Amino acid sequence: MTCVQSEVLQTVVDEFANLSSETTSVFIFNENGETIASDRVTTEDQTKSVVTSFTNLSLQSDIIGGLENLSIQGATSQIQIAAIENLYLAMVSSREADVKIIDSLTHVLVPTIVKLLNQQLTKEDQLAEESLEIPKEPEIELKEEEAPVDEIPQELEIEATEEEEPVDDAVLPEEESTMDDSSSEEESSSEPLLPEPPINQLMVEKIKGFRVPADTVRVDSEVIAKWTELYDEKELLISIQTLEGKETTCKFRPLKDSRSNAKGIIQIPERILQILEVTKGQLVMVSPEIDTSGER
Amino acid sequence: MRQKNILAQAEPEVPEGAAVISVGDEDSAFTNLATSLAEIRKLKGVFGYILRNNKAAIVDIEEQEKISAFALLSTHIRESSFEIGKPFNLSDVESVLVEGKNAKVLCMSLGENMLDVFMEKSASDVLVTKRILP
Repeated sequence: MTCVQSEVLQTVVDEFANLSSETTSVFIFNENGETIASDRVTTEDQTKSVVTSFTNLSLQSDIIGGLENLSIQGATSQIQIAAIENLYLAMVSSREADVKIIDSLTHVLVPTIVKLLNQQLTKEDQLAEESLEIPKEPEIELKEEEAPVDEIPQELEIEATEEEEPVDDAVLPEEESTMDDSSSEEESSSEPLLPEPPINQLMVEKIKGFRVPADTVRVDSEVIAKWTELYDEKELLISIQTLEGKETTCKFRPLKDSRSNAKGIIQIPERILQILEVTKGQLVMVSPEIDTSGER
Repeated sequence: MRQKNILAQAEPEVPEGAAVISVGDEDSAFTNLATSLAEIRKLKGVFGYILRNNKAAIVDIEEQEKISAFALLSTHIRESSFEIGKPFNLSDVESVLVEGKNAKVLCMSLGENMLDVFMEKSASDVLVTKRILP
């Protein structure tokens, strides 16, 4: 019996006075003789006395199959003790009390509530058991799935690097960028000596042409030079973030433009512009990100 | 064991095989109750009864090997009911109905006479009470 269930039964017991004004005392006790709920009128001594005598009688009642219900009629008052599943409801009332009300309270209302509470308890137990079992299943599934998950990206990465300049089909899903983010986080935790990635603000330009790779941006060569210097020979990707918070990670190359005013420029293919929801002339924040996909 | 000489004047219907113990003078209330109980005993589901006062007792229980167990139970019922009722000032117990999984017992006190009716759970204790207290 949980605290919540005891509270529910206490509420029921408290309501007995409203339901039957002839009721003078109500309490509920369990098989161990513990009082689960009691009205304010009934004293501890009264409940103890009843529970003790009832338990003693119960021990002597094997010949009738144990003790389920006890009804004592006095000249002016009466006592009913009814077994309700694993609990006992004791009620003292005047002989003038409406028998129908007493019967519906002791044999219908309270038993229904107790049954519902017990069903709820059973469900909670089942859920608890299930939740205890749940962690075991994913472990097995993960082990089974680990192999194909590892294999597939490797193949994809190889394909991506082999296709140096795919014209039409190159797709840069956001999921991939998030995967890279998480893996880069893992890497950074395992390699604390790496420097903090510098953030540069660049102006967007659109790359045009038929043979433009849809997954590669072109960045000011001075910026790339600084990144290469910082990260030595590590394979890098570029993380692009808009002022609105849109973010993606992709490959990059130095700008082909030899214009002197091409500094601070990032040239982005149409596909990535759509992902980032930016247009020519807008500013984006870029930073290097170590490419961990090649290490797998 | 039967002592018909004491009960002969009132001519109660004592069932065949019922144990009757009697000492002293006849008691009309006792005799009337014995007659009523003999009728009740014929009701479907009623498998025995014990009627007793300070002077006499009639025990009629289907399974005779269980007479002492049922007699003991009825004593316990009376003692426990008294104890249960005491904290609630319920000292004047008139009747007690005890239900088990298989059977039930109706214990009543009518003046000096105490009677216990043993019946199956499906039997009507209300009907039995009405027969005893018309």
